[in-house]
Amino acid sequence: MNGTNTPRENSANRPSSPQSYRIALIGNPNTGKTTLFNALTGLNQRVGNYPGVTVERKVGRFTLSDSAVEVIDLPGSYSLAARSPDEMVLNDVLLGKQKGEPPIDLALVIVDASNLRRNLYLLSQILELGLPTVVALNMIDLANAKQWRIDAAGLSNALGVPVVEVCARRNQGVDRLKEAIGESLRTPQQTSYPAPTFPEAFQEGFNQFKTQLEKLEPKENDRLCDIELFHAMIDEGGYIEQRLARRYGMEGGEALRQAREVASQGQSLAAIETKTRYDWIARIIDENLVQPEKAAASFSDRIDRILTHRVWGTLIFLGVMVVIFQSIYSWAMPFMEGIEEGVAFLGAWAGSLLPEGALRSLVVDGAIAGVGAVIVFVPQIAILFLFIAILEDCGYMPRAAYLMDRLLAFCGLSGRSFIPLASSFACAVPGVMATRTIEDRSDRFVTILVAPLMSCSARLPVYLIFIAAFIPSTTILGGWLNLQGITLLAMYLVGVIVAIPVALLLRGFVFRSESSSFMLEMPSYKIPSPRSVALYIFERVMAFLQRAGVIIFCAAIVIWALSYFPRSEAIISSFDAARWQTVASFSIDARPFLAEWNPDRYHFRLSDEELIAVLEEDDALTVFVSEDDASTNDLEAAIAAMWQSHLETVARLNAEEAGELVRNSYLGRMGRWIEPAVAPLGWDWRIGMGAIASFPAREVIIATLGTIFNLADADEDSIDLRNALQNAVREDGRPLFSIAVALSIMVFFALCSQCVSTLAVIRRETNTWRWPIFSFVYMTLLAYLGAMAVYQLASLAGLG
Amino acid sequence: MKRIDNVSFMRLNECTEGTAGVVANIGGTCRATARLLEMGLIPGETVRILRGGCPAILQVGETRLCVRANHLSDITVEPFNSAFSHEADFVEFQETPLIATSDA
Repeated sequence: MNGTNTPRENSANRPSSPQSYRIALIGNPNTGKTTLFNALTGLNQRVGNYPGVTVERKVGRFTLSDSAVEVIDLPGSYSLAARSPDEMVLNDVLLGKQKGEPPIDLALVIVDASNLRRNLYLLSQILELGLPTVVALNMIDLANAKQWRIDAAGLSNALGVPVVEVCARRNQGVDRLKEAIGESLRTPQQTSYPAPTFPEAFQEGFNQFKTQLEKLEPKENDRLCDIELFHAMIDEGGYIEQRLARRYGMEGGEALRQAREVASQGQSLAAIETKTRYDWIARIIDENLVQPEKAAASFSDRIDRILTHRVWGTLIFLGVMVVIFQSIYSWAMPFMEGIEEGVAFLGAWAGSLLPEGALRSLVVDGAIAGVGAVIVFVPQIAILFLFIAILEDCGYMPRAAYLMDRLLAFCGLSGRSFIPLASSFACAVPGVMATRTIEDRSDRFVTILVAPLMSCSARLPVYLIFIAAFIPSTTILGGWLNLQGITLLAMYLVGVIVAIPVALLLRGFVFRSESSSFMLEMPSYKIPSPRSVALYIFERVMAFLQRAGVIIFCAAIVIWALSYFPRSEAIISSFDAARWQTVASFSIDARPFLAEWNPDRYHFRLSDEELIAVLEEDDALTVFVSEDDASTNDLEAAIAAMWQSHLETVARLNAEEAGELVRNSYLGRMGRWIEPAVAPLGWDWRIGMGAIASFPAREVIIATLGTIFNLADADEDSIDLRNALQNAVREDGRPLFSIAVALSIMVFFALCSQCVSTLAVIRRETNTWRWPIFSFVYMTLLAYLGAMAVYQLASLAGLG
Repeated sequence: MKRIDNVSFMRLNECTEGTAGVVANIGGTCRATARLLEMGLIPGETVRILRGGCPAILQVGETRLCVRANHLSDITVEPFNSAFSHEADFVEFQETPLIATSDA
């Protein structure tokens, strides 16, 4: 600035309530900011978004003797120069210009003691805001390990603000930090310190600029404050320059051009700013930091020699990935089965309480099954984020990004996209959520849009049933490869191969930004803090349940309603009649045998219905229906056979009724309505309807096909469903499925966007409906065209 | 610290793994360059290439940065023989000839 401190312009209208304060936590990335935030606030935190931007807003609370303090965790940044939405929010919150965010009372700046020089850069910019400021000197243990001696008191004098040594990871110094914050809040004073002095020409240019703009009338009466003008001048093409252009129009732009000409003197303004600040930092460091003459190779150096090695590093990386994905499958499995059983139990229990009818079906098949479909993902999400949290916290993630960058640069992405894309093979939901670590907005959005193309675990059941039913299990290449295995691999590759041109097209036409910008810091390795890891997982799981949960739940209910209504009374009563008929004929056939076998129990006074009820309760019958041993006498065998055949008939009638009702439902009608559209894919109305019904989740297709082909309880291992699919015929009598149709269905499900959870998470992560809709439309189009191409080609090849 | 006599300035993207040098000038005004400046890669500062190629890993002061090679062409350094450098402990220095570039 102009050598002195600029008081905050809006400090006058700050609400002064003595009992509650708002402070902002600011710092470079990788300084332990989140760990300190957690140490300060514990579980008292809320995560949301700033309105209109995809920047996470995290707020926590702690109490000081008599007052409540609200802590706003601002995005990590190296500088106040606003070149991303994150940095713009950072500026606006600090200046009290963020909508819906009252001005803050204090800036808590976290500084990495083991990298003092670079961290003081951001601090030098924050001190110029003139806010009451407290510095938390974190990672003091790492600095000590390097045998650095930092004079915290001297630093405090030189900066004019309190400096508190902390070690957030071990929860050390946090209480002293709170005291210092309380002190500064109660007795706010203007900071006074020898600020960085900018060259004369630079100040001259800035003063001219200020005078010029004071003469202009800004739009929306939003006069830019000195700090904003300062950054607008220096950061060419930054967000604040854009704001200036919007507020002051052409004249503002002209003033800016002139100011830059005067200030720069032929040099780059960024170079002048950084040189001035780093000169100032050098003076402070000279006085307050003693470093050993010869720095020893640190622990991180030695690890990095292996982990960033082209051969060893890559091998270790692959090993880590294998462990993660293995765990997502195997560790999650018992929990997922437990949840499924719990949901089934809950459904049965709720079903037993409610009378048969629409309400019971809504609660059991709609609500409980819908919620179950959501929470069944929780174990996988928790396990993935356990690994991400550990790898992130210990500092491995940037090394993984380094190793993968070359590969992803080919698709117009960067190394940062690797973890989200790889996670999507397990499930796109945590994959999309993991894109938060991507700084670059365009990179992040492209990654979010291609991540669902990776074949997730929900597609596996679909592949498995169709491969088992229609792909011959022949071996090729001398028994080395199985055709079924190759087809499965091909299905996984379809998504990957399609993702490459999609990413390139999105990069080329939709997200055109400074290409391949990829720069990231490789922080020192640290031991992860269990508290931070636990909170990270908790936060991600809750975010998934809250936002995605509501949408999945609603979608599941809509699909349930479409397949349940209208409830045709004609169909139900015709099946009731058939069931009654079955009972009556069973009764006539079985009574003489039953009377002979157990006259006390099966006397003639029983009505037909009572007879069935008693039979159902008869343990003796259950035993020898299941144990078909030699000791069974002829009479018992005959009764058992009759009873068995009766039960089968009833089950068949029930399944036929369910199928008939679905066929007649709104969903069934939709299936028949879209039949012409899906005919080029080789599908009939039943498959089309299955595709519509599986909109909430791909795996629903199996249950739907089961219902349509009149099977009571279908799952992918069911031989019955496999047989039913193989035997299904079209209306003209030809077999419904062929290899071509099976391939067409599999390719459709490989590329389609049939997953409400993913769409809901995309909505949440991009903060707009535009991208989930875009994602759904482009993936459905791709899936349709891909399925059609595969069907037509396969038919030409004689597989139809 | 002994400088090699006939050497002068090189672009950072042309330096081999293990090279260390003093930053002479940073051209360009793109986002990446501005960010590098903020991270402390300013004229007069020592920079070392820990891993060459693209992306490269640089050591700037206490900061270790992973940067794509295209961002490095705007940075000119005056390399010094790292055999004499006290920071030569990360990558074993290979005796690669330091060739003067055309714009030297």
